[in-house]
Amino acid sequence: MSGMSSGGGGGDSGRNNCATLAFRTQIATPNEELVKLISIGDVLQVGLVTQGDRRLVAVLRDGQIVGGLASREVNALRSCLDQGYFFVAQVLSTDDGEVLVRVVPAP
Amino acid sequence: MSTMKQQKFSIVGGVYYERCMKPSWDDIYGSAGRAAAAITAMGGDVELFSYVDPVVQDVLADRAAWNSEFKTTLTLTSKSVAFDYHHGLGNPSIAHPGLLHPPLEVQAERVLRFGMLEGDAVIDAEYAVYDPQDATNPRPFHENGSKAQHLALVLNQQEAGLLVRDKQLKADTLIKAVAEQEKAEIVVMKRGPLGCMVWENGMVNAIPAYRTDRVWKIGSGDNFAAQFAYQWMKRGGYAIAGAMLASKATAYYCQTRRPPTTKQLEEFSPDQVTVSSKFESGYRPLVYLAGPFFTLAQLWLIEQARDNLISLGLRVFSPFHDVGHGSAEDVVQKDIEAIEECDLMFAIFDGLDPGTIYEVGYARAIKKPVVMYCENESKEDQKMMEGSDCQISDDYVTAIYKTLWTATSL
Repeated sequence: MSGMSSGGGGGDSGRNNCATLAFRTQIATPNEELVKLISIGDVLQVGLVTQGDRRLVAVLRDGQIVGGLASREVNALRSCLDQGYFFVAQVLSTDDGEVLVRVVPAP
Repeated sequence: MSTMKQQKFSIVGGVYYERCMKPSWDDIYGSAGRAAAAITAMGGDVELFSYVDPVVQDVLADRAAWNSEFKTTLTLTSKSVAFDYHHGLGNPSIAHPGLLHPPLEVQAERVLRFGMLEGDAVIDAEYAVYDPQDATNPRPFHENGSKAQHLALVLNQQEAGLLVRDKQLKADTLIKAVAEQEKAEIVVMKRGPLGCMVWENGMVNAIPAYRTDRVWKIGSGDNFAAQFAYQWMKRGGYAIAGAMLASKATAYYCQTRRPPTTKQLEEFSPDQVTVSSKFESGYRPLVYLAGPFFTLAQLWLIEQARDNLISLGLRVFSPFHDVGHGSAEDVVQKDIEAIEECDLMFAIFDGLDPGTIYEVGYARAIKKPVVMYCENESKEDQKMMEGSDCQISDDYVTAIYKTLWTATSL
């Protein structure tokens, strides 16, 4: 079952080009009430929030936290936000209360 | 018994990088990571034990920060294992650091344990669910000193045969042999389109599989084990109900690529996979594999489809493999005879190969079912096929499963 492979290794690919960072992901633990107000095509804000000793990346609608981002690209995104880049989350789908977004640099 | 709110589910297993070419997928899950997502989606409290590299550790820290029901106890390593797939039924390329880490030790009331590539887990639990996760050499639960007062095994029929070193046993005899050898109170043996079989209290029950409009295969087994573990360990009751819900939840996951919440699972009503008595008795339907085989890419896809259909238990007639290239006089009549003999057809439609189009038309004219895999052609070009009841899918794995489900119903 296991084995060594020469290709396809994992790990952070170092995609830290903030001007072109873009990825799709589900919003983690979305707020049910806010999700009801969201439609496909909506553009939500992306920002940093502090929880304890951790800085988290959140998706917001009119200043309210819809949910968080917790995918593998979040470290790179966090770094870009720290550098002053702005990002938005374009809503791709809202099936069954789950929100799929595409995170891209703000225009 | 503890109330639902106080019950914690400890999960131990791999958290791995996963990438798939088509459909596109690039995330960090692995069996234990996925099980954690599945059980927290149902409202369960989870503590996840695993080996992780710094990137994986960070991702899990973010997930835990957004979910108060999700906690982690992680052992830091230099590099986590990575799985790379071309598609969901492909054999992954596995990047493994090559080290075997010292075993993780977990002592808890309720534990879901997965077999791992890079290490092991010795557990001491009141209730344990064990999924060996090894298609070639599954290890017994107790072998490494693990203990459980109540043990349930979740494994597929192939793993079961390997565990008891007898692949010839019939399913109901096999599941009993596994339960006795492994001293398991419950055995849930997955059987593909036949659903699963549950051994409990000396009795065997059959649970159906479900059809879905789309099939995302990667992680489906992890979701099954997680849902069963949640339902069985949460209730401490009958395994049959747990397996029923696990089968439905797996279908939900395959359709949506995410685990269901309790509400989503309650509202989900998929159709059962229909299994004819002929198929149950051992008949293996013959699939005619129609598709172009003139370029390397085309040949690769023909090989993939043939291998996948055979590994799912079907027989395949492949013109490339079974007839080969040749003049019209040499090949056409043999191909037509094979279409007439087959039970159904799987057609690769991209490229609008004239031979494939002819074969699809011929099959439909003699009322053979056709499943067509077509990613990149216009609706207009698919009109005749759609209008003559071909099942058409733009996703390869979904098309393979639709072929399987059609075959089992004949």
